[in-house]
Amino acid sequence: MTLVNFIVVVTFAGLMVVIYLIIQQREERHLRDIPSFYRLKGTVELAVEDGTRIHVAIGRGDVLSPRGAAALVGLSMLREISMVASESDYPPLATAGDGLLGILAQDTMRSTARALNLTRTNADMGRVTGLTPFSYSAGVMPLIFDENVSSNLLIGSFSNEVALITSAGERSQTRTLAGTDNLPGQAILYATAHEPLVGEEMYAGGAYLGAGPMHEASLHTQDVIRWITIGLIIVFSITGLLKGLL
Amino acid sequence: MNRFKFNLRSPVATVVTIAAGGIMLLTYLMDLQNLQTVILDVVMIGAATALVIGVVNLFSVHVNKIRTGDSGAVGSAALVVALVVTFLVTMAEEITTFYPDSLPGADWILNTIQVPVESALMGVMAITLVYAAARLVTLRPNIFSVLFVLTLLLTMIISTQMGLDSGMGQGLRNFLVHGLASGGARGILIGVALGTIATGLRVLMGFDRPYDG
Repeated sequence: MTLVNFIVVVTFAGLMVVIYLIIQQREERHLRDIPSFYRLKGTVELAVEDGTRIHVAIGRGDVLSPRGAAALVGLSMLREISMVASESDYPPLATAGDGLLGILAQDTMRSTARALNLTRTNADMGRVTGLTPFSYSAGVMPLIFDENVSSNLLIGSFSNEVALITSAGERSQTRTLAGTDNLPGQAILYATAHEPLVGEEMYAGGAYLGAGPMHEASLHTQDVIRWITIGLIIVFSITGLLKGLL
Repeated sequence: MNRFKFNLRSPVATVVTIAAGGIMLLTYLMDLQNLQTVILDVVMIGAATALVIGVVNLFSVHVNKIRTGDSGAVGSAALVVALVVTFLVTMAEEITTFYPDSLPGADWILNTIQVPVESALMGVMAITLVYAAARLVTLRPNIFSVLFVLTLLLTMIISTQMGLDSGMGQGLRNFLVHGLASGGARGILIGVALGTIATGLRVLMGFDRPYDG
């Protein structure tokens, strides 16, 4: 079992590096259309011009568990949005439902401000709003109304309680783009968010917002591994079927 | 605009992340259970400290709101009072010997205040979901929204088990729940798993730095 794990990880990493090197030599990008991300770019630029704020919710994903990957994607997107919006009068607001994520969100915003040579940074812009699912959502809801928010980006690990956040977005007439790694959460976001991200679409956020060629390379690697997985599933299914018949 | 401006913390943090992540990955691949436990114990202490920092952050944000007379100052005041009272009661109950058993303690606060409040939020969430499902077709008028609502209705009817506990009903239920829903869920989960591996590897290789780097 450990050998299989090792082969998967090494193959994945190797493919990412190879595709990264190929992308470095190419000028054009080959990404399939995910309209939500293009609209998000427009929304961020509009927010800077309008003098409104983007709210980035990175959820409650425990960084020590696999759910932390979703939160890391949220942090990558927070970094990209901060690079565009930090210089405005209303810099982005990040909320988290976990102490560690709150620290990482503040750290991300601080490092972005330093990269942009901004002297003023406000630690209050990275907030922990609650430590249980419902207290987190209850803490986020008033922020959407009170902090001059024009768009909500929910990228991280959210479960059923995310419905409360999206409903607050709906009532305040702000746009919501949202993705989660949680299956019930995805179903709820499909019904309640303006721009839902289904399945692995959320993990593509960095590539679409220009977080670097490695994000793009990992996206292509996921596609390659997915096709291999599909092939293996079909082969094993047919083999199993034939064994049953013979 | 220099996105990767040099500062001393950046390379140190990157080296620590890659080294810790690499060792942790090896413990999974090479069956080094003891080393894994030691690392996880250390990390858990860090995570517990971060939890306390999170509470301090929550407290300071709301104290600032009260001080500046923010529009939500009343709510912030309620939160600060509740936080302080819960903290004092819990500390008095757990650490000191003089806290009388007859007085309400941390369990009482949890069962009498927090659980009912969260249950009420759950009720609000249920109503929100019904409303969202009802207006989904008008929000995004396309075939997938219609399919979503139809599946929702069908699943609800099936879950009531009205006349579906035998024959064709049973077959339909199995096909929907164990066939379509289960297959779709697995497909989505494979995508999520691939995304999770890719994100983890980006951090391990130092391309993603969700810290001051």
